Amino acid sequence: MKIKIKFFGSFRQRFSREPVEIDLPEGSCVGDVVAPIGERFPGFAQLGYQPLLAVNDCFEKPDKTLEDGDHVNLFPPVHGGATDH
Amino acid sequence: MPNGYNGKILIVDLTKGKWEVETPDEKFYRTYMGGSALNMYYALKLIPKGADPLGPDNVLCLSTSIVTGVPVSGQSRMTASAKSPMSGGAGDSQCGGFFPAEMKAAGYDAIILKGKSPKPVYLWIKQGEVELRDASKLWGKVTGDVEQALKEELGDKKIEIAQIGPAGEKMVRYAAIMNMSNRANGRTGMGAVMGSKNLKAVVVRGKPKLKPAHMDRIRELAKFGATNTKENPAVWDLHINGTCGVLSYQQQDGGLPTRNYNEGQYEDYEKISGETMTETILKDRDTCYACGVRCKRVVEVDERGYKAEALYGGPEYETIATHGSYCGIKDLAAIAEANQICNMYGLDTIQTGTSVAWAMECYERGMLSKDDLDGIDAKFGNAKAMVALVNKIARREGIGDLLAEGSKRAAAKVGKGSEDLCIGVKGQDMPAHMPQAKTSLALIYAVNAFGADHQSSEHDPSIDPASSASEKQKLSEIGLTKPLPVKDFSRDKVHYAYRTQSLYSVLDSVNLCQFVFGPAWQLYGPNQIVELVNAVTGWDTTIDELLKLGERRIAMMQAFNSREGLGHQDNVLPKKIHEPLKGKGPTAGSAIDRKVFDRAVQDYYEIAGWDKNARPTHSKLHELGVGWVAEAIGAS
Ligand code: SF4
Repeated sequence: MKIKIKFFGSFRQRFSREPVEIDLPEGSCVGDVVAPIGERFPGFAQLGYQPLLAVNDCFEKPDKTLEDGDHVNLFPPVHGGATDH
Repeated sequence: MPNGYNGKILIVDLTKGKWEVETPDEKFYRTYMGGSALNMYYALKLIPKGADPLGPDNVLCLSTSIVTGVPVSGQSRMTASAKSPMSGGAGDSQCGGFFPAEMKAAGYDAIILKGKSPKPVYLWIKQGEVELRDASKLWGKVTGDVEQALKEELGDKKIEIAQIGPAGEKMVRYAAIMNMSNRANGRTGMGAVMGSKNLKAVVVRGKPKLKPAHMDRIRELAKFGATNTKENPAVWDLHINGTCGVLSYQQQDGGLPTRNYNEGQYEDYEKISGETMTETILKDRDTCYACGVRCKRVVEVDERGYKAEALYGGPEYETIATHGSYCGIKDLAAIAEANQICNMYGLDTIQTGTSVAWAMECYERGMLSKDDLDGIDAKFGNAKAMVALVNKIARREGIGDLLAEGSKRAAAKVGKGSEDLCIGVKGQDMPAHMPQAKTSLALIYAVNAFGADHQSSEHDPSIDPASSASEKQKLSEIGLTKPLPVKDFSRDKVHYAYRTQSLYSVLDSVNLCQFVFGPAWQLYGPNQIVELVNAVTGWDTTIDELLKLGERRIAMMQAFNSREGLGHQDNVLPKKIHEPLKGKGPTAGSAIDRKVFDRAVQDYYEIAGWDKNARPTHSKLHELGVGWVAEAIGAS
């Protein structure tokens, strides 16, 4: 399934201003975007922290299942940054 | 000479045009250290009970601190305090920039302004020499023009200025004290107090001469800051996108106040985000004295009739949210112009934007008509209407005269249920961090002495189990080791809120920037605050001693409030917060449960040492070494 990825915060300057699209197998979770993004943008794989993950403008835990066409937003941990979702 | 401070406090009687210098001893400095705590000492001693906040009996206190001016990021802060014309209780507001370091270099740790000048004046302090000068020609001028005129009049381009704009002269209740033309002591109406005293500006120029006790240790701290600014993702984001970098985050959290706090997500947030500002109107990044973070924005706009010049800086997150999502406005150029008007005329951008948002909701619900609004079609989303209303507030013109009183007082006049649309606590409207998304803010917004404030405690995500290792480490330095989910509102969360509030209270008294120093995600943690204080002063303070200072300042502000008749009945949230949030996103439908909230408030009183009517107890004030406050307010 096709997932659209957008970078936020300092990620945008560091990785890509434009959204990128990745292909993931059915049933993938939002946490599964990290590895392919890390392959495409090596610096992303070397972050010393966990990025924050949001699906369709809502922060989610990495085990949230994705659906075809979902938008995933990636954030560095700004101003604290944990979420309980 | 003591290490780190001048040991001199300037007391100016504006009525008589005279001044004197107090030279408190080291014990005084170690007890209050500066900023807000030092100001509250003078406020409690000098402001008579029941004083009119806009009358000559009010006293405006401007303080630096024991560490102001040393070459470390985040130390150039000045706190302004007085009785607030917004709440009738303690007023308190901080600014950064270069003024604080220059004020201290000019020879005084604090400036206490009493009385009322018979005519407009400004205070000129040059290397310890004091002069009150005629400001008749400056009266009525906007901040940028005053900055220019004063530089010419005094023949010195390096002066630093704390001034009021025309909004302060006209005593818009939430007028700010502007630092040059682009920074502000924004909240609680300190600019209105300055205007009521006919004091247009405080101008300072000095030569740094203070010697810290251990310069080598200060260099080590500076080196740590330089190395780690880029490594700390939250701090680096402040550099890249400014405070507005948090706007997109708030959206995903359902915590971006939208259409007067009715919703927690704004569908057009990407048009007004920090990322968009960086990619479009940002012209430069600015800083405060010696700060390597450089979070301040400089923008330029000249499009579709909207204008903003670099002289007036650029909008912070709070400004973008209050003039943007609060009003349903997606036009960054219009918001940049509104920010410029606020900075030219000297207004608190938060309260200006919230007053406009309140008027817009009143209009949409038929509580204010187009006629009432001077013909302005103040629908949510109408950017031209937003800018027009900001202009009217700045000049107290037409409907602006009513909105210049703040939404609480305006609603009392308008009636028709418009009171329920207000989003304030003690008359000060809520900033752009929503209690529905960050639970402990519900408590802190309610109990904070000067009304709803987002910079008075650490927000909930830092104590969440998922927070980073470095946040956990810093929190452990103030004894907070038990993770608590964001939505937890147990007594443990209340303890977290009070403990971090005490640390933020240290920051506001040692006068440190809360993006650089703090208990969680910031560049420097609690132990480094201790190290900074000791390196500058040569003292042997500890985190426990500093946290007592933080508690002392909270208790003194609350004691001031008690003396002025504010109590438990004022520690309440606006009705909206207890009703299900509309709109979309993770917080849609959520509300702060009244019973849980009431219990949290009672827990807070117990933990803070306040009685049932929110009065700090006699024993608590004695425990904090300010027994004299207990006597002054007749604490139980
Ligand atoms: S982080 Fe920003 S506000 Fe704080 S001292 Fe540095 S430049 Fe000033």
